[in-house]
Order: sequence, then structure tokens, then C-alpha cells
Amino acid sequence: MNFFDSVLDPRYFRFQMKILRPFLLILLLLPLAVGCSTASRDSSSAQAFSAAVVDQEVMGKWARSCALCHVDGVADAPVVGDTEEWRRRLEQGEDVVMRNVLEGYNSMPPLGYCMACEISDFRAMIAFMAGTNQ
Amino acid sequence: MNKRALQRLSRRSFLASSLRAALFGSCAASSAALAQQTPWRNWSGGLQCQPAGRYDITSENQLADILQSTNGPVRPVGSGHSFSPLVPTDGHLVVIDQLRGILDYDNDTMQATFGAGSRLGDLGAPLAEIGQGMLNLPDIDRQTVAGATATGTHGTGIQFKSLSGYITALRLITPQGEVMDLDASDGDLFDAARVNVGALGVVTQIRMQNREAYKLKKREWTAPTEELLAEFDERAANHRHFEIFPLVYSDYSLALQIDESDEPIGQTIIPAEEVELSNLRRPGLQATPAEKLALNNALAENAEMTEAVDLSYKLLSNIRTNPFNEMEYSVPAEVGADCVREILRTIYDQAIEVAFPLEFRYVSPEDPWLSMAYGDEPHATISIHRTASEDFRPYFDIIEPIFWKYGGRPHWGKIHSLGHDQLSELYPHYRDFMEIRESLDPEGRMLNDHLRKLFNA
Repeated sequence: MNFFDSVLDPRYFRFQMKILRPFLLILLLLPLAVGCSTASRDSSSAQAFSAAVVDQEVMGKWARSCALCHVDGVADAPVVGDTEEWRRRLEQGEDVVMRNVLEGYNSMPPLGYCMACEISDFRAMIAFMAGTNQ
Repeated sequence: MNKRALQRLSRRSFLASSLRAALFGSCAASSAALAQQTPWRNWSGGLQCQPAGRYDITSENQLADILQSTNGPVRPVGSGHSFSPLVPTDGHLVVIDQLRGILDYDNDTMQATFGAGSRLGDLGAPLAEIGQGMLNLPDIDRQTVAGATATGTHGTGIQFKSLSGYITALRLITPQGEVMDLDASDGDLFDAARVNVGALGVVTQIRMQNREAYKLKKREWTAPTEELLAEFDERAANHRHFEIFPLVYSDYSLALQIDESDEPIGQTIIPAEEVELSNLRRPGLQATPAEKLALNNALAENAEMTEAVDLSYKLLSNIRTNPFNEMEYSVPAEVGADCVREILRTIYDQAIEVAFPLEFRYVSPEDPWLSMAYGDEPHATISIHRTASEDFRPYFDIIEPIFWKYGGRPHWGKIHSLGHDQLSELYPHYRDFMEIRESLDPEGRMLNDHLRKLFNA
């Protein structure tokens, strides 16, 4: 079983927790640390992504597309679990973030290689990578 | 960039900075509100559509059910790497990237069966684990096996066919949802199906001829284009892979030569002697072709040589992170060098604003009917590129007639403007393919506007 198959396995979620563990403390402290200094659209954007449902189907799509670059940071892609970097991206607001996904941004092609994804899938994937669905 | 920085430019940074310069006008984001439904776009962003239905296929049975239970147009999509409008549809978009992985293999015959939605870049490591390696690979590793073979995608090497040429069997789900397992014993149908532009149905499994896993040694350097063209045939014959990237507004090319190797994995960079560049004017938008030529030649002379040894799949294919659009034609190998010269001369004479190098390589003759290398003689393939944020049409419109002059056949996944009348003259079995297409898909469910133009349907 390779990595991309393993994400469909429940054991993957333990792996996920393992790689996210270093960031969990930051994640817990994030609202206190940045809550007063970030713009209101930041929190509304984060809320939009936090409502997304990250289920097994979404994780399967993520593994076949986003993971190609967002696991290793290929071409400077923000890495899954790097909450600080993702927070910076989400500060731009939901519209900008979603437009970047749909139309492509820097080295990321339109749709981020997910030909089967709907907008709700992209929201959930971003929530997963940014840690806003915790 | 100041003069000191300019002086330090190596070949690698020279090429990268050329690409960045082309990107300066980066694409402006659309001000339109996001559509409620998710559009489809290709890799370069130049193509888009709003399919009525989008199916994330999990099994061949599900695919057959969908084909049987729905009406209207159907288009399969792999990674969306085609620059030509093969995919756009307002009908049903069928996504096959869950049909993936190594399904079966045989190390006696060195063949393996892949789920057709497998990305090429995901197959190298698992194939190496079972002791196999693909014989050749195209430049980009994120295409699916189905997409790459449907479009006749190829790598480099006069003794190597396209990926389609190494298909030994495939499974096709017809537009009626019937399963057809095809191999060489199926004759014409197999020859049509190996390069099928997604017009015969949906391919779900592909069995390919491989070889034992192997390592390669890659050598890259710059040299005068005329020198490389003069020795091209000899190098192509004596090395496993040899190709050049002729630099525009330059007398130089980047050469790439690859051979099998047992040396340890690693990379060596051999720096060139730095030359004085400070008296050269940096080419900007207003620079004349002569000014660009002088600078580019000096930079190319100052380029380092690199050598790398690695597993075959890591050296043959690349992750491309600068989106672009591309036109590629094949011409008979004996006129390939003349075609390259005429394109370079035209870019210079007409002062076309472009930074991307050309790509010039040979491919082996082969027998899939719609292969751009179909026939008994080797073909040269020549590519031109334009950054995705720029309008490719003015440049490509000027260069495309040069390809026609040399008897060029277009790559199916790349931009071209040919239709049925011209294509049927270029491919000896074009009408035979059209007959098979019509017999498998009499209602034209697998067609979109682009394919109707190709097949006069």
C-alpha cells in the first residue's frame, strides 16, 4: 500500500494526527494570539472553511490531487498542517482563496489537479490543510 | 536586476529568469463572482467548460452503468494536461483518476497492467519495487496513462516509440457501456484504440511493455545550435536519449543526453568560466533582436554543465510548475533541422516576443494509426511554448504554417488548427479510424465541438 492509498485507510488519520501534532498547540493558541490583530474578514473566512465537512471521500480526492504538492511543499506550496502559513493565505478572504483554487495561482494549476472536485470539496480540503476544521 | 547579479547568471538561472520575465504580466484575476457550480479548467487555464454532470468513477461497473443510464455527450478527463480542447463539454465529464495503480504484472514478460487513471509520476516507484521500469516517459509526469496514450504522447529517443507504442492490451468501455478487451489479435481495432483521442469510449486499463528497473545518467550542457544540429543524428544513434532546446534570440541550445548507468545516484555541477557581461545591455521589452542575441549568447557561453545519475523515472520525466501552452508537430526526421532553423529565423526576423526555448527530438516509427510517428521512418518532433498568462495565438499562428510546409502532423493534446480535410491527408489510416469511431459511437456521444471538427462529424 503506497501513501496515496493509505490515506483512505483509517490508520491514515492517525498519521495525519502525527504530522499535525507539532502544530496543534499553535492551533489552540491561534485565536488568542492573533484574534485581536486580524481583520474581521479573516475570521469570517476561517469560519467559512471551518464549516466544511472533511470526510473519507474528500480525503480520497485530496490524496489524488492536492497531496501531490501540499505534502512536500513542491513549488513552494503551503504544506498541510502549516497553520501559520495557511492563516496568512486565508486572511485574503474566502473569495480570493477560492478563486485561486478554481483559476490557478502561481504554480498551482486550476482546480489543483482535482478534476472531480466541487467547490464544497475544495473548501473542505483547505480546511483540512489549514487546520480550521479542528 | 543589477549588473553584478547579471554577471552571476548561470544557465539555470538564465533560463529561470527568462521564464519569470515572461510571467511579469501575470494573469489578472477575474472580477466576476465565483460561479455557484464548479467549472472545469485545464492545466494551463486556457480551456474551460461547465459540465452538466461530473462523475468521479470508482469502478468499471459504475462507469458502464453511467454510460448506459445517461443521455447526451460524455467526455473523459485524466489530468487536464491537454492544451487542445479535447475535454470541454456541456455534457457529462467522466473523471477516471480513481482507476489507478498496478493491477497486475508479469516479470517474465516484463509487462504490467495499470489502472488507466494512474498518473505516470505515481507509477515509477511501485514499478521499481516489483523490478520493472517503463521504457520511456514523456516530459511531464502528472499526466494519466489514459490521457497520455490517447493523445500519442511520447518521450525522446530515435529507438523509442510513444507510450501508445508500448501498449500490449487495453480495456475499452464503449459509449454503450460494453466492455472490450483488446490486444494485437484484434488488428485494426487495437491499432485505432492505442491513440484514440477519447473518441472511442473510455479506456479503463492499459497493459504496457516495460523492462527491468534501471538507472540513467543525464548530462546537460549548452553549445552552438548549428554544431548540435550537425551532430544530432550521430548522438541520437549513439545515446539512449538525445534532444536539444534551441534558445530563441540565440545561436545556442541546451543539449540533453541520457544513457544507462551503474554509477551511484548523485548530481555534479561543473561550472563554466564566467565571462564579462557588464558591458551588455539587459534586454527589455524594447530591446532589439540583435541586443537580445548578444546577451543570450554570452549567457549561454557562461553556462555550467550538469550531470546526474538517478532511477530512470526520476530523470526521464519532470514536474512542470510554470503553466504554459504548447504547440508540437512531428516532421520527417530528415527535414527536422531545417524546420527548427526556419522557426528560429522567423522568431528573430519578426521580433516575436517569446522567451521559451524550442524543443527538438526524435521518436521511433510506430504503428498506432493516429500516432504522430506513424509509418516506417523516424520523425522529429518540434515544440513551441508560450507562458499561460500570455496570448499564444499571435505566436503560434505565425509558426504553425512552417510546420505544415515540412509535412507536419500535430500532437493531439497540443494546440493546432487543423481539421478533418488536412488531417485525413496526413494520417494514412485517418478514414479507417473514423469508420471505427462511427461504428463504436454512432450517436456521437463521445464528441465535442473540437472532435466534430477533427472527424467531420
